[in-house]
Amino acid sequence: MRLQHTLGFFISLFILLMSASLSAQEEEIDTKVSKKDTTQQKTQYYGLRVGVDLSKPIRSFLDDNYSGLEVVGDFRVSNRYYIAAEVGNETRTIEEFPNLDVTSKGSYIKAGFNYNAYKNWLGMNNLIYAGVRAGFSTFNQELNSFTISTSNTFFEEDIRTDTVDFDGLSAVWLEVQLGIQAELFHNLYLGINVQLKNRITETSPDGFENIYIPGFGQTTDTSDFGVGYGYTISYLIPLFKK
Amino acid sequence: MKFKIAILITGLTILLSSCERDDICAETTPVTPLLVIDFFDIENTSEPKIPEGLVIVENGETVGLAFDAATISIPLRTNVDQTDFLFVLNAGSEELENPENVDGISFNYIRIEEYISKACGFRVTYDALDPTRTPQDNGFWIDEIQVINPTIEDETSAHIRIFH
Repeated sequence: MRLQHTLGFFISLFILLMSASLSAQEEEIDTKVSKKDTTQQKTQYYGLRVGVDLSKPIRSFLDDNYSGLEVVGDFRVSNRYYIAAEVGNETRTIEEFPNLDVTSKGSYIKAGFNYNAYKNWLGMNNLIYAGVRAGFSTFNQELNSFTISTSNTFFEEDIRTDTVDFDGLSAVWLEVQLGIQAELFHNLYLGINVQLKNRITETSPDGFENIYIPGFGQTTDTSDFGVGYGYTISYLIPLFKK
Repeated sequence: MKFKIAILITGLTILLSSCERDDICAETTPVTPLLVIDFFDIENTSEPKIPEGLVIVENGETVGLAFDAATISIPLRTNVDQTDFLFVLNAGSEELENPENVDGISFNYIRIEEYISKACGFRVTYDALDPTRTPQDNGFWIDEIQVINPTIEDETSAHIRIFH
């Protein structure tokens, strides 16, 4: 399961790096063109872009231990800045640990802004962006089963299968997002992004810990960092031109 | 150009942080502690005394643990509040001078479940340890049981002393 996650991540990163180098070339051409032709007015669309993260329903279909949905949106507020947010819901069962089986379930919201570093050609509305988000998640965890760890095998293994509920959990994190949004057809955008997250605070269950935080991902013992990725498809509702 | 470098650095950071493994329970992690027993001579109570040919079996079972030391560690059940052991001295001996002698010790305790980590899961520690001798066929070889520490959270020192 972790392999699949890592693989998707590598692909995202690869595409991202590729497109970054492509964009550098385009920018050079862009400056040449604009020097020749300075009389034309640039039409810039401002509006609300809404969409979904495609990776989550796809993963829900492929992975029995996962179901999730995320709605994404951004709103252009100036030439280069966009207010951006993601709202989602995830249910994830983690059974890869030898002594634990836990299901985490909950909703999250991430809000912040994107900075578009991409200089568009006339009439184009693509983005290569860096963004920051504050993330907030409320969730609960169900400990489906666990094993009492012993240093010997004198007695039979003590496996507890009574489900234990841990409710009212929450977590706050900060996130850096890098991504691109390319206009496929008029006002229809395909996007990919990678996310690096850092947990700020969390309410941990009594006598247990948060294993998976919806929106943040799986926690690790060694750091407060988490990673994520998204493949989005979204539609720009043009509200006004500039 | 700066942007490309920024992407690369961030990318590398993410890759490194995603390579961590925390699903293997390290052997050094303290899991459910064992009960540590010191054996002493009843005639000279400060002198450790190795019980000869000691085999400890759970009451009702046939397979046990053999020991040849004055300090031993044995597990207690994690699924119930009581473990009944048979302490067999001179196990299997047919010599008349040192005949096999079976004493029962019933350990009662409170169990406390404690979370360790993702990889190790949970462990049990014990409190209010109360051992009771239960008579078996041919008299007691164990003269006295003394509880030193009724709370079993680690294996650094003996929890009980057995004089014989």
